[in-house]
Amino acid sequence: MQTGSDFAVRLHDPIAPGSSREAACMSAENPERQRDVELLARVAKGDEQAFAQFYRRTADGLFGLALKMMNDSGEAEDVLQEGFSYMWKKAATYDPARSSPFTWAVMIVRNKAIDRLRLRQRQARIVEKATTEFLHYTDTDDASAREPVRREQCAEVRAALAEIPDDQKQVVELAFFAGLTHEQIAQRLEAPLGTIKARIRRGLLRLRDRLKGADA
Amino acid sequence: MIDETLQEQAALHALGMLSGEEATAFRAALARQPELQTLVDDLAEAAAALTHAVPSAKAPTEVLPRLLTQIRAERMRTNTTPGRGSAVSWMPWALAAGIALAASVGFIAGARVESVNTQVQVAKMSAQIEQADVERQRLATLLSSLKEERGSLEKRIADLRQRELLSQIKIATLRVQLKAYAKVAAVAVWDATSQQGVIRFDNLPPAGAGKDYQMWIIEDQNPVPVSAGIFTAESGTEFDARLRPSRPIAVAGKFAVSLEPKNGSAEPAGPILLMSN
Repeated sequence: MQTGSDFAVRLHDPIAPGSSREAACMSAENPERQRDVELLARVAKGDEQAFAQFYRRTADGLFGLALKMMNDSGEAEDVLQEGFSYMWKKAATYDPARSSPFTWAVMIVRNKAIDRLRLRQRQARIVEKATTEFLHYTDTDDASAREPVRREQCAEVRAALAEIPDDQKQVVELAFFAGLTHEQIAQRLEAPLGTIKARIRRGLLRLRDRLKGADA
Repeated sequence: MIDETLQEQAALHALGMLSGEEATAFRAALARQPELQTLVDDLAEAAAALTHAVPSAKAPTEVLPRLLTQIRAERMRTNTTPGRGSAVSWMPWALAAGIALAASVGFIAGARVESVNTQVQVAKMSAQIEQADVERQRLATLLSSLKEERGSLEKRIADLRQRELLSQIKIATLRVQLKAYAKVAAVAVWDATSQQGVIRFDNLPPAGAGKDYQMWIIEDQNPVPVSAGIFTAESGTEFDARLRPSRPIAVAGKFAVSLEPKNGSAEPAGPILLMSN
């Protein structure tokens, strides 16, 4: 099992500059993504302003992910801070030919969250967590507070998810958000390990195809 | 062509789920097949997109200043940024080198008096640099202790706030009423002052086609249940459902959850699945 945020960095083993993949990636980029790529390049050179800008552009989405995974606003805040601290140190390892800056950041925050999830017994603390989280709720309408780009992305992903069979969606969500291993998922759903692996494969491939369809 | 086994491993790798030996073997395959790396990257991108399906949450305002303080403190400690030198770090060395160069040029020219003067200046400036370094260390220590103090004060304030808020909050564990839901855990939290609340569920299965779960609040002095919202569970994982009662609640006594036809009912019609004492 791979743990720790180094996994996100390993996704970015170097690709030869000028390779066809790099060229393809750069040409496919939208302006928002390109802006994030530029910011990360400046962060890699130690530019604090660029770091602050990248933070402001991505922190809310990443905090939402951390909250979803941790079910605790205090721990989600710690995960966010650890994630961005890691990004500051590892910005030079980011490779735009491999993924978008947001994907890179998501994988780092997710792995920080998984590291924490594995350190605690979630069930035993359900009452305490529910209380703590409730104290930090705000009554704002999430949809109206989000910027249009994010709303559009949200709609695309939800539409893509709606087209994926429930059993596949369930295992992908358990793997991604709860950080469970395939063995744990198999145990939890009382299904054979091979079935779970196949569902993860089919679910992720379908999600990729649907999202690519949405991009086209 | 990538076969199904490799596709499976690519999906697991993209989610960071491959174990040590499997991961090593897969990385070897990655090195041999560039198209496999492309598949992993695509799948990781698709997985990360799931984040867009989660409601974003306003990141706490104090995180960015804390990060910047941390970055600056680390810079002060090491006098370097990650993998790169800063202007501040090489300045004293450049200054000292410049002065040394000037001193050696004076010596070569045979201007002894100037050389002596320069050496005196070098000594003075070296002393100033040392003094500045001592001052820097003192300030770094002071900053560190102030940060510690601030951290402990923030924690104390948070504790006090939480204690005050908790005094107005009712917390209740909901008990399973039907055997089929034996694995379900649920806790209700209700704030009488703000008239807001949440029920946290664990292991609640999806409501099923044409059905909705409906939450109810039963007041202490009024046995008629007040509808507090409907929802459909998405998966077996933990999740929260916000309590939004259809009218103000005087004193919340019990919380219940029933299974109702789609869009809920005016009063509980379906089976009661969970109820607090």
